[in-house]
Amino acid sequence: MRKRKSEVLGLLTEVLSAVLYCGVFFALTLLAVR
Amino acid sequence: MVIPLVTSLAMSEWNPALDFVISISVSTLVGCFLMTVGRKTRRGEVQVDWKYGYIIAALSWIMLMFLCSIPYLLSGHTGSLLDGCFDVMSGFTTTGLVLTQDLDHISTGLNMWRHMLTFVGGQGMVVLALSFLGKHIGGAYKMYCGEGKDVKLLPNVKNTAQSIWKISMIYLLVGTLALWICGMSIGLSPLPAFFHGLFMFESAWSTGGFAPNTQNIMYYHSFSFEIITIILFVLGSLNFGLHYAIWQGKKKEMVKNIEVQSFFITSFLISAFAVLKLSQTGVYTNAVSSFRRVVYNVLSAHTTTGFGNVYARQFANEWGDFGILLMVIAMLIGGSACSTAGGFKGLRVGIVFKGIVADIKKILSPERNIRVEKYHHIKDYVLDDPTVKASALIIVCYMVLFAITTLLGTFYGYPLADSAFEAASVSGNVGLSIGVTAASMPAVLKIQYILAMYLGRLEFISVFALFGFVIGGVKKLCVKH
Repeated sequence: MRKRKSEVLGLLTEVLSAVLYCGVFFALTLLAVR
Repeated sequence: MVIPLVTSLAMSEWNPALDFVISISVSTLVGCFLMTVGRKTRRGEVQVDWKYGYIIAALSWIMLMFLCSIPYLLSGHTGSLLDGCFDVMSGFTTTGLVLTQDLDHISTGLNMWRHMLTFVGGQGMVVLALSFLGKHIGGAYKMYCGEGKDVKLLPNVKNTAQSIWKISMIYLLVGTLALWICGMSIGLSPLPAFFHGLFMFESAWSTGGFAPNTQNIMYYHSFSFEIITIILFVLGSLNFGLHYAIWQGKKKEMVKNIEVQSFFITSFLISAFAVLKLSQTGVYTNAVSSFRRVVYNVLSAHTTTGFGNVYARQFANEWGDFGILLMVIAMLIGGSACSTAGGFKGLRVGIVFKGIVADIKKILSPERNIRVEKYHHIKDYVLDDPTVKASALIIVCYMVLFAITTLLGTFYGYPLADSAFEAASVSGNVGLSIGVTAASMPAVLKIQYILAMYLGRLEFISVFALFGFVIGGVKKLCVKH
């Protein structure tokens, strides 16, 4: 059960990190174009 | 081939179904023959050493290229066996360049086959065989390494291979669902939206770049579709060891890992320079179009995915030499080691960079100081000279391959920038095209591109072992006679 929970949290960490990464890149683009 | 066959039957595509029946029959016959020849190895009576592990991995890719091109050839959508082999190698190596004609009208079964090839190729064919074959295989770890994957997630290589598949299958469910819902929200009917979602997931996760239509990702005209695919291909380009570590609860790896740091820095710098240049020249003037057209393509190139949301010739006509050069650099660097991505990998860039910094520090510090440099990749490693040398050697091999492929392109009359772009795309297993790859291009160039994709994917060593073995055999024959 603990292993399953850790895997779900790991999956969420990865997806959220990737979303954050895209957000940082979009902010960068916004700054560069302005 | 059973899955595309079932897909064809379910979609009432009788001719493609027959193509798959023929292909399955031929493959089974060849498989039975090889199993008879190699029965001693199968029983574990013969020890497979490193040399043969590499050779088996390299040869299995060539054998599979021919067998898997049969459905292409029977479909009538490829001009020749060479074109079929090109597309199969492009799929297996997760490159994504296409010579198949009339992509918009190929059957769902063949589309399933194309995208399965790229999905399976991303994980590795040896990984697939190790995951699903019940028995212990002699020399399994050596073949696994021969496929360019050298990270052991678990002590047992079979369990490692199964873990790789488990990670991919969970993402398959999550990613397909996300793209399916997104597809329906942009106006696709539920069934086509499902297939588009599945195919685009397989391509994005395996950093492949195939799409079920000629226009690639542009077909969807959807920012949300692009955002989901960016997330998927960035995740797909990460090391399987890293996925496994994070899923085991080591969340700090996402920040501390040398590959993540290297990828973040290089993609950040390349994107920033590309956005600045292309907004200055007035090609893309607002933030949304700059992000969608520039950052998307840079990340697609850097992760070696190959989804392109500008037309091939736009790179040549709008991006200019500076933009093309940035894309070439991104394509050559590529994603992470032991991932679905190609290129010479962020890990090696990080190691060589740290090696250079360590050498400079060594020169500047007092002679009696002994410095031990380390890098973090799942755990701490000492940065020693053999590690730096091994990484530098692979980078040199990639550069030589890139130079030879560029040279051949220019020999056939393509402009230098176009040749370099396409050479980086095939060497780094990316799949973005500037317009060189076409069914009408010279056969020698097609063969060179197949070779470049193959060498780039297997990271040279296995293929060199195969070449050495063949040359050694020929030499022995010459001496005998």
